[in-house]
Amino acid sequence: MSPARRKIAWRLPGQYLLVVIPPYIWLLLFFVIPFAIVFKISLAESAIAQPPYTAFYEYVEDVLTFRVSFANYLFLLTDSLYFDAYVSSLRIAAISTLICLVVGYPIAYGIARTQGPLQSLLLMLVILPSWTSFLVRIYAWMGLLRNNGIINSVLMSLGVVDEPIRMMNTEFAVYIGIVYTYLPFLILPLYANLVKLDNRLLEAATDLGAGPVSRFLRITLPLSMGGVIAGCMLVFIPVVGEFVIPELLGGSETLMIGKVLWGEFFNNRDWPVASAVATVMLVLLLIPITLFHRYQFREMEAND
Amino acid sequence: MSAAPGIPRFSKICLLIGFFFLYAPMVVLIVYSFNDSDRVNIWGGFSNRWYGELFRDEAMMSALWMSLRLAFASATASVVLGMLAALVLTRVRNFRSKTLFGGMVTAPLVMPDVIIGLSLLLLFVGMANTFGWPAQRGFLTIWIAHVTFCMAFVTVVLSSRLRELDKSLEEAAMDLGASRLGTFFYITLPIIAPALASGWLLAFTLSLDDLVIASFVAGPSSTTLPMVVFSSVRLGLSPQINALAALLILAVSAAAMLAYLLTLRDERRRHEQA
Amino acid sequence: MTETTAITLKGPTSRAPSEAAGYIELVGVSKSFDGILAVNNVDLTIRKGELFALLGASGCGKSTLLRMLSGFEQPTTGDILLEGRSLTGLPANQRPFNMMFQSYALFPHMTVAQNLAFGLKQEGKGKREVETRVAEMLERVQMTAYYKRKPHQLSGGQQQRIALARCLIKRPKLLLLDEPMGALDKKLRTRMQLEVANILESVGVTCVMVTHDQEEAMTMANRIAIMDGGRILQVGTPDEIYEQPNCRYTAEFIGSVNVFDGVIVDDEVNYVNIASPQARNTLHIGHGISGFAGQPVSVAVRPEKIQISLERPAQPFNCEAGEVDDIAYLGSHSVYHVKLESGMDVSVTAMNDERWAGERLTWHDKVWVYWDEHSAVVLTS
Ligand SMILES: Nc1ncnc2c1ncn2[C@@H]1O[C@H](COP(=O)(O)OP(=O)(O)OP(=O)(O)O)[C@@H](O)[C@H]1O
Ligand SMILES: [Mg+2]
Repeated sequence: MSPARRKIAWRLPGQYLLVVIPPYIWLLLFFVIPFAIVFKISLAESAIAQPPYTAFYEYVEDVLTFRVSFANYLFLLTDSLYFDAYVSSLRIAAISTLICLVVGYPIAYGIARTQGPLQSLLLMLVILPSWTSFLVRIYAWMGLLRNNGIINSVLMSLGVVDEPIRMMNTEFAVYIGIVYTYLPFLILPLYANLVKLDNRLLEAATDLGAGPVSRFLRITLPLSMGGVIAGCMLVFIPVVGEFVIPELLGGSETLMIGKVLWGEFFNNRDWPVASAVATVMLVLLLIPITLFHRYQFREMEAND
Repeated sequence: MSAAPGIPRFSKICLLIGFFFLYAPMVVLIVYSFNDSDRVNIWGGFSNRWYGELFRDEAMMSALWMSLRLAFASATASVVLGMLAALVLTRVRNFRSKTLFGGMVTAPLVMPDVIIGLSLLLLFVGMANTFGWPAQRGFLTIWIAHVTFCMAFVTVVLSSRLRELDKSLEEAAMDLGASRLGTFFYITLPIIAPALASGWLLAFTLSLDDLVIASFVAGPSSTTLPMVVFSSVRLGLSPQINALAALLILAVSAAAMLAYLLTLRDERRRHEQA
Repeated sequence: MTETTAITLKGPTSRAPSEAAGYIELVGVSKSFDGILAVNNVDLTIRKGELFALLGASGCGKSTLLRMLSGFEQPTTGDILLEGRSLTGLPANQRPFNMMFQSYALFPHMTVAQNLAFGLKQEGKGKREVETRVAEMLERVQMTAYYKRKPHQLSGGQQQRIALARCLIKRPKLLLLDEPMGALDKKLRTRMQLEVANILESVGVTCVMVTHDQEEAMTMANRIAIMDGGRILQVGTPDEIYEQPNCRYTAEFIGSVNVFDGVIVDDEVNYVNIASPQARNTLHIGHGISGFAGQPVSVAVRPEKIQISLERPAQPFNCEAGEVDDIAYLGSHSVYHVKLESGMDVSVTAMNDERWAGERLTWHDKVWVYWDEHSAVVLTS
C-alpha cells in the first residue's frame, strides 16, 4: 500500500466507504435534518402564506434578522388541551404496554419452550396478523364493537344483557385496538430473548429447591429483562404518537396527542403549532428511545 | 396443540386465548365479506357481490395500483440501502460516528408515524422553496418516506442474519483470492438470500400498510389504498371494505406463508450445515 | 468413507524437507489486541516442504500467528518473509498462501466441484484448465464420485478432504491448517491424521498447522513449535521435543513426566549429580550441563523410562524405594503410581508382557523404582 493510500484508509473506514456513504447520507438527509426543520418551524409563527408560517430570517433594512418566537410553546403550556393530551397519551401508552406485557409474556414464554417446527409455526402465527393491513384489523374491531355489532348481538341474543353495551368510541375500544395491533411487537423480542434461556439454569434452580414461582421471579424474569425492555419500548413509544386507533375506535371521547397533532396540521393548518407539538413529543420520548437503543446495542454486542 | 412437556399449562391457555383474540376478528371479517345484505351487521345470505363492486370501484383500483407500485419500489430500494446499512453495522470496523449511525438506523423502528410524516413533509416543503425540488408531492415523496422507515426494519432483519453468518466463509473466499466485492456477490449474498427475500416482503407489507406518513407527504393528487380505505372507514362500515379486507388478509397470509417456508428451508439448510 | 486407501501409509517423517535455509521466516513478529500481546516477539523459520506444527494450550496465540501468516491480521511489529521478500501489507487474497479453516468453511450453496473451482476462477483460469484441475484434485482426495453433492450431504471426513482439496488446488506456497481435526470425533481423527499427512506428502506442499492435540502434532508434523503465552518455547522434531524438552512447560505439556526439583551438587564434563528433597538417593545424569554447584534445577523422567521391581537394583543412584499406591490397567501396559518414601508420587509405565496376571505387582507392594543415567533430562527453566 502506498503511504498516501494508507493515510486515507486510516481516516475513513477502509474500502467500505462506498458501503457507508449511501445509507449514511440518506438517513442524515431524510431522518435527521427533518427533525431540525421541525424544530425550526416550531419557532416560527403561523401566517396566511405559502407555506403557512413566517420566515426564519429576513432582511430588515439590509440587516439579517432572525425571527424566533417561543409563542407556540407558551401556547402549549397555557391551553390545557395540549397538556391533557400529552398526559392522556402517556397514560394510555403506559397502561396498554402493561396489558401487552401481561398478556404477551406467557405467550412468548410458551412459544420459546415449544420445540421443533411447531415453534416456527406458532411464531409465524403471532407475526402474521401484523403483516396484514393495520387498518383492516382496526376496521374488524369496529364491526365487532359497535352497539349493533357482533359482540352485542351475541350477548343480547344469549340474554346476557338487555341493552347493547357501549364499547365503540370509548377508551376501552382504544385499549383493545392497541393491544391487538401491538401485541406481536412485544412478543417477538421477548421470544428472541427467552428462547436463548438455558434450560439447565432452571433445572439447577429446581435442584437447589426453588419452586415454580421463585424460579420465574429469580431466574427467568431477571434474565429476560432485556427482551422485556425492548418489547415494552417497541409498544410504548409508537403508541404515544398513535393516531389511527384513537381516531377510529376512540371517537371524540379519547384525547391523544397524535390526534391533536393531526388536527393542528390538517384541520387548522397551523404548522408551527403542529411542529411544537411534535418537538415536545420527541423530547418526552427521548428517554424511552435512548433506553431502546442501549438495549439494541447491547443485544448486538452480545451476539458478536 | 401438542406442546412439549416444558410448557406450563398457564402458558398454553394464554397461547390459545391469545391466538383466538388475534384471529377471531379477521375470521369474522372474512365471513361477513360474503354477506349479501347492504347492512354490514345483519346476515343476509351468501353472496360475492361485494367483490364485484370492489373491482368496479375505479378510485379504489387506481389507489391499489399506486400502492402496489409504491410498495414494490420502496421494498426494493430499502433492501438495497438496508443491506448496506447492515453491512456497516456488522462488517465495518468501528469508525468515529458509528454510534450515531446505529442510532439513525434503529430510531425509525419506534418513532411515531406522525412525527416522521410531519418532519418529512416540512423537509419537502423547505426543499421545494429553496431548490424548487420536489415541485410536486406524490409518488416520489411517498417513496422517499417509505424507504426511510422500511429501511430500518430491513436493516434489523439483515444485520441479525449477517451476524449469524459464519465469518470464516467470507474469510475463506478472500483466502482463495476473491476480492471484497467478489466475496460479497459470490458468497455472502447467495447465502443470505432468504433473509433478503423476507426483508423485502416485510418492507413491501409495511409500505402497503402505511397511512399516516403517506397522508402527510402525499400531494393532493396522489392517493394510496390505505388513504382511500381510511376515508371510507371513517364514515362507518361498508361491505365493500369487508371484501377488500378479506382479500388483503388472504394475500398477506399467502405472502407470509411463503416467507415462512423460505425461512424454514433456510433454517433447515443451516441446520444440516452445522 | 471406508473406501479409502490405495495410498500406502508411510509415516509423515518420511518427508524430506530441504535443509536449506528459511523458506518462510518470521522476524520478531508481535501482535497486540487492544494493548494485550497475543503473539510476543516470535522468530521462526519454516523450511520448504516440511509440515510444521504449532502446539500450545488454548489462548496461547496459535490462531493469531496463523492468521498473520494468512494475511487476515497484520503484525503489530515484525515482519514475515517469503523467500526473503516481505509480505507486509499484502492482504489475504493476494498471498500465495491458503488456509483450511477449522469449520472447513465450505460454501454451503455450491457443490463440491464448484467449491474446488472457486479459487481457480478467482485467478482467472480458463474453463478447460479449471475442469481438468478440479477432476485431478477430486481424484487425489478420492472424492470424484461426490462432485455434484452439496457440502451438507457429506460426512465430516469427506468435508475435511474437500476443504483440504480446495486449498491444495491453488498450489499454494504455504498451506495453513487451523485445528484440522478439531471438528472430527476421536476415532475418525486418528484415521484422517494419516490420510491428510499422506495427501500433503504426495503434493509436497509446505504446511503450517495449529493444534492443541500433542498426539496429532507428533503423528503429522516434521517439526513442532511449543507455544505458551504468545511466545515460542521450543522448536524441534517430535522426538527432540519429547526426549529433550528444554523447559518444564514443554516437558509437562507433551506426554506425562515425573519432575524432581533439586540443586546441582557437582557438575562435571561427563556427569552431573543433583540432590533433591524428593529423592533419598542422588540423581545422576550421564552428561554435563555447564551449570554451577547450588544451582536450582529440575530433573524430568518419563514414566516409560523407569523400571519397577520388588528387588533393590545394584545402582547407587537414580533409585528410590516406595509403595504401589494405585494401578491404572490399560491393557497392553499399566501405569503404576508409586509413593516414594519422600512422599512424592512417581508414575511408572510397564508393559504387561507376563504370561499370567498373578506375576504382576499389586497394591501396597513394597517396590523399587530406578532408571539409568541417560534416561532423565535436566531442566534449568
Ligand atoms: N480479534 C481479536 N480481538 C481481541 N483479542 C483477540 C482477538 N483474537 C484473539 N485475541 C486474543 O488473543 C489471544 C490468543 O488468541 P488465539 O485465538 O490466537 O488463541 P489460540 O492459541 O488459537 O487458542 P485456541 O486453542 O483456543 O484456539 C487470546 O487471549 C484471545 O483472547
Ligand atoms: Mg484457535
